[in-house]
Amino acid sequence: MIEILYALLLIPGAIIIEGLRRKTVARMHNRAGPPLLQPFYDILKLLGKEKFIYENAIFSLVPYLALFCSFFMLLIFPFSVIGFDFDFLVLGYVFILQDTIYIFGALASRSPFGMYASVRELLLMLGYEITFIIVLCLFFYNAGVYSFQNYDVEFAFAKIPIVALLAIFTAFVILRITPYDVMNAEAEIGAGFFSEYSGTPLAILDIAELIKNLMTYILLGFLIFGKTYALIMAPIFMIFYAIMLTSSARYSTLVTAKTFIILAILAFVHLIISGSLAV
Amino acid sequence: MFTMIKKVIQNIFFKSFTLKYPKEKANVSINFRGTIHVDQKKCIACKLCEINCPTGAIIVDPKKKYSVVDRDLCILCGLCAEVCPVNVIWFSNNCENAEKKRTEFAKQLPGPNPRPGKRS
Amino acid sequence: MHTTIYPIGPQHPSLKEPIFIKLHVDGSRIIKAEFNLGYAHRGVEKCSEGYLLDSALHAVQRTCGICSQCHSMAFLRTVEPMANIQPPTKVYLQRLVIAELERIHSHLLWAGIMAHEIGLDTLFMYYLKQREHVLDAFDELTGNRVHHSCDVLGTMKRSFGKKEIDFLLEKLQTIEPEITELRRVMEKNEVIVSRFKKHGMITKKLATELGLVGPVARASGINYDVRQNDPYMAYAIKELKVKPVIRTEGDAWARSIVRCDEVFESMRLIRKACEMIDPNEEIPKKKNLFAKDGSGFGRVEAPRGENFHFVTIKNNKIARLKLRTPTLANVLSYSRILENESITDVPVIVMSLDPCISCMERVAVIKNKKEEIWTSHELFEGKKHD
Repeated sequence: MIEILYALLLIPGAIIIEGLRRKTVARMHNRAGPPLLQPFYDILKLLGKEKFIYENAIFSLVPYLALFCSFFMLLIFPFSVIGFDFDFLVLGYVFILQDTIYIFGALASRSPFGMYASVRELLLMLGYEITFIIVLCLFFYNAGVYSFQNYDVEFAFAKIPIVALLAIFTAFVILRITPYDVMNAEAEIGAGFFSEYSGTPLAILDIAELIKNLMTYILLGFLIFGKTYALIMAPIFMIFYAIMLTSSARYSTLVTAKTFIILAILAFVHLIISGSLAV
Repeated sequence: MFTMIKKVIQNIFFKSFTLKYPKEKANVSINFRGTIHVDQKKCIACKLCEINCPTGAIIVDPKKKYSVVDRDLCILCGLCAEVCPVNVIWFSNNCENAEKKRTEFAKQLPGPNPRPGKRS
Repeated sequence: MHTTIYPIGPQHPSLKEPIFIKLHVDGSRIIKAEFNLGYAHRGVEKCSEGYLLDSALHAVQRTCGICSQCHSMAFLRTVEPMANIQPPTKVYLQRLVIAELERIHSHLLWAGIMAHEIGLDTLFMYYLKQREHVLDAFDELTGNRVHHSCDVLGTMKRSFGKKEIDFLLEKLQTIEPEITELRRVMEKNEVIVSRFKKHGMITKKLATELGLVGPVARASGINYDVRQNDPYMAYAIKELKVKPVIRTEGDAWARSIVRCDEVFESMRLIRKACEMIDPNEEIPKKKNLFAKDGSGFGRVEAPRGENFHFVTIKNNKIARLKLRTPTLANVLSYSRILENESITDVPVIVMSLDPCISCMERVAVIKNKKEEIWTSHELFEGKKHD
């Protein structure tokens, strides 16, 4: 019962944390910033807009699939609300699945901007998705368990600092934070994946993104600081990434891809050295 | 990246530079040309302002000695005030000129709006 | 070779004004770049025809929102000798102050947009905050924040007193340390340097061939500045001689640094001019002037480069006006410098020339050798657009 309530509370939590993020970024810009509930008003307005969609089954299905992925994350982590005790790898693959779905949607839209966003995402996937999965493996190998329910290591960063750092780096791409957000570079590829979406589908994509962002913050807190601090650390990670977002420009695609391939190699070497291939 | 972090973190604790507009008003200079005003009683209908206005925003009726300003066309250049021989045109620093409808600007105007460059 | 077409424009987030850049790409490498103009033609030249000199001056100032004073100065430099009038030195000094303030405001805005193009919105906000102080100074000195309209033929609308000059100097005092710090970020920040350096290379030879002007040419090592090579108005005074900022790298980074340094040069000129202005001196009232029939031309250094005006006067009215804004000289280099670059760098290269598209757009009507004249009314209504 508590778990269901908890899962339901996370949806407004996702909106509020996005509002807080906007407010923080505005303060760093020396602006007054929008009201706290601005993301909610944005979504409400988008829901009321005229439906204007390119006729393509994949294209129109993608927002719902993305939202499904986000809800799936919400339901299996950190408590298993639907009563199914998943292996930790499932969560990692849900994260990857959502990005893959975006690629399908963008390619189905036949927009050149969407196409280039997909190409960039695919290029980065070589680096960051592998790193992300290896990082998850290493954390759970360190804890000696295979499901979120049994993970009870606190302050894991003290023991495996390199892995914690890799997790923080990977989250740059998952959260689309500068300097590593080339697939969201509005200056050259417009809105990237979402270039052709409007109205209700865009609102649904927004909700999916917001929930995914919150889940990423909580996941980082969960892995690095432990179960009890997961929720408290979410806003702190939000502020950390807001500082990163405001204080750095965007690297070019080539530099970003190189960085993440090096990180993937580093993670792989770490995996071999620590002997956690047994996972 | 690191050249900016210090300033960014400092700024969280500073007062915001922007204003929450309807509640707080910006401090506009007294010299600011915001709205055009014509003192109709003293107007001698010499038509100098009408001839000189670059956009044709002022129309003077010589019989009634009355001039009409289309605030939609007015570009607030201040040339009319400069050429006026009796100094009846002046500018206040009221910069809140928005109207709900475009027709509100030219409400008093008889006939259709003159286009820019109509006189050429 | 088969290439994909990647369109940038006419509406695109990296463009603030409409221009269509058609990129032929192989993967993300650009093979060929074409560009197309004509999306924002406003007909300023045609509008001004038939205007009285003073009205035309105010119409011409509206050509550009950022460098309106430079258009005004170019027009005055052309028309004042034709009307046989020599304004007093104070008027010249005041015009210089406004023109240099405008250069500061233009370069700050440009630097902000350049930072925005590479995703650094914070720097954009900080630059715009400093620009706001400059706009406040305009507000106090001229009465308008953007289109200043402070000139009339032979004089100015307002004489600067002690209050105005003190306000201006105080504002300069406020922005100087901040801008120094922001320039350091522009120069040192490793992400910015990695995005700007070696991108959009214009060699000195290419710049000479294409006839580039302004900060773009100066970043490629060409020592050309109208204020120095053909001094006009107050720039002819010995104390206000301009030291142009020259760099030889010729890439987007050099262009940024040239513009950042020009801001400080402008500040020096303003401070010097403020010392020379006598606050108690009165400037002459506006007089009705009659210009001889004939043609003339004048050029000034706008924030983006050389700004050229050609004016023909008939019966004390404008018969023909030709503007050539600096962007028209610079924009032609796009098709050359975008080649062999990656799509990632397109916004940086496009913005590094500081294009001002809608100031540049002109129309030429060529139709079966038959003389055809469009009135501005037809031009606005699009009557003949069949």
